[in-house]
Amino acid sequence: MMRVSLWKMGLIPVFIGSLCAGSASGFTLTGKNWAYQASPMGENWNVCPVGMPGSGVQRTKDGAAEWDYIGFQFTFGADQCLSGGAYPAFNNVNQVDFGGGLGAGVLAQTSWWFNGKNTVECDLRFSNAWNWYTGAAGSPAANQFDLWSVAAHEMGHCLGLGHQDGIVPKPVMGSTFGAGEVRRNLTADDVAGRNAIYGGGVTYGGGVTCPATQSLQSAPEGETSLATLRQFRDRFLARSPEGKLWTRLYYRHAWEATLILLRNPELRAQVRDVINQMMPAIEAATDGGPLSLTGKDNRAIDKLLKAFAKEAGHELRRSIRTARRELRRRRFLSRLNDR
Amino acid sequence: MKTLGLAMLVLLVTALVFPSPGSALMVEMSMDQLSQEADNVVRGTVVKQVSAWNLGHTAIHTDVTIAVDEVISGSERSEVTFRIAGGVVGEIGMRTSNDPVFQTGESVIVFVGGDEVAVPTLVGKAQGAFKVEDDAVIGVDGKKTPMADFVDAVRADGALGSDSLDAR
Repeated sequence: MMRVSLWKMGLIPVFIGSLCAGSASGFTLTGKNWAYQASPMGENWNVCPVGMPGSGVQRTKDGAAEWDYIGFQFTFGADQCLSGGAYPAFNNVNQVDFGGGLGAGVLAQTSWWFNGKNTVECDLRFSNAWNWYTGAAGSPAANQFDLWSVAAHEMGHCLGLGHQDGIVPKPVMGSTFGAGEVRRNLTADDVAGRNAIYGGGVTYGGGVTCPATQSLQSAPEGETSLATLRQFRDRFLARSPEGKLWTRLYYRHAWEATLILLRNPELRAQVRDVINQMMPAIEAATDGGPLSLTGKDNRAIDKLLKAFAKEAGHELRRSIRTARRELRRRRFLSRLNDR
Repeated sequence: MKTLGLAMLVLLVTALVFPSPGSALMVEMSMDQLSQEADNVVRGTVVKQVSAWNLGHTAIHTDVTIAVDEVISGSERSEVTFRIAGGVVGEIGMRTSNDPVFQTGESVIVFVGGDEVAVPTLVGKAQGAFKVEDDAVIGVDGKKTPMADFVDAVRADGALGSDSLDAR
């Protein structure tokens, strides 16, 4: 169970700028994912090299890496076969291999195990019945299937995405894939699906979906403040596990926070005020110093949290309660500044 | 002339029900292939699903039982049971990217093969299962085909196959 520093929900709109993916969202979710983990995809994934054609091992990793972002990174252990050739094999190993037995017409298959909504293991097999292209440059022949593209698709299933059709450009998670085709790069729809699970901007109705952007976009110097917040995220928060956790949870809750802000102009103004008040501390931390908060900062943040809580759903309210408690203890700051 | 009409119908239904471009991550099977490889094509209602671990406790499968309302192709029977990968046993569940998930009580058309093995399976995995709503068949891309057209196409594929064999 992930230990959550939950006061981030309130502070995050204050601290972090937006990097919202802008696109209509049509992704589908399997309903099972690794978001409960402190480091999703961080448990070792293993590629069994036996029988893998050409550079298939590396192309598998390349496909997985397509999904990497600030919210998680696929981490691969040594290339080894840990499932005795069995697929699927529920054995606490996330195994990728190459073999048969998938049935007629199947290029590859992903199998995932779950407990409730939590994915606990994922195995992937590429079928040895097809002619695979494992090059990085160049392009597959008309009778070859691009392993990199298929790996990206199957890893999408592992992280919790279902098939998605009817979107242009055709997403990695599109259900159809032809010989000679290359579809390695995530589209906005793929990104939106991933971010909906693991955090990140989700766009709906063409609107802005990041709380900070929602609050600052029309303010004088708003763009400058947002740029500073983005730097704060990338230079300061990204340097500590605690900071990364903050960032991820900010994006996970961003949609609800944005909805709250959309219907509450006074709260938007309050967020702006708190950001402005804290900007010197944010800039100092971005420039390499520690993040320090004054008593006045803490009181402003606490007041903002209370205002959010009045509008929040049950889960968010509970998170904010915990957040306010942690804020009073101030343990979080020392973890954030710990390099 | 009759054969030409059947062929046109098959093309129409295939275009409506199956995604048109390329091949699926499961390589796309045509209506003709599904029909030819299936021992039974039936329309019915999902009445029972029993999930279990395999002997090695490495994977979960589910035996799905359909109460048959109509045999579209194959031998007459009142119910059909087939096996899919995935299911939930106790607290642990398993799904795959290629196997469908059924809801007990829903209406479906399934292409079932493997009569000669212990447990039949779906032809083409998820491609061999179609949901039925309001007298329409829903393809993998969500497009709807009138039930009568779909059934005619399945049966026509069988007829076309025979014609082809006869012609040789």
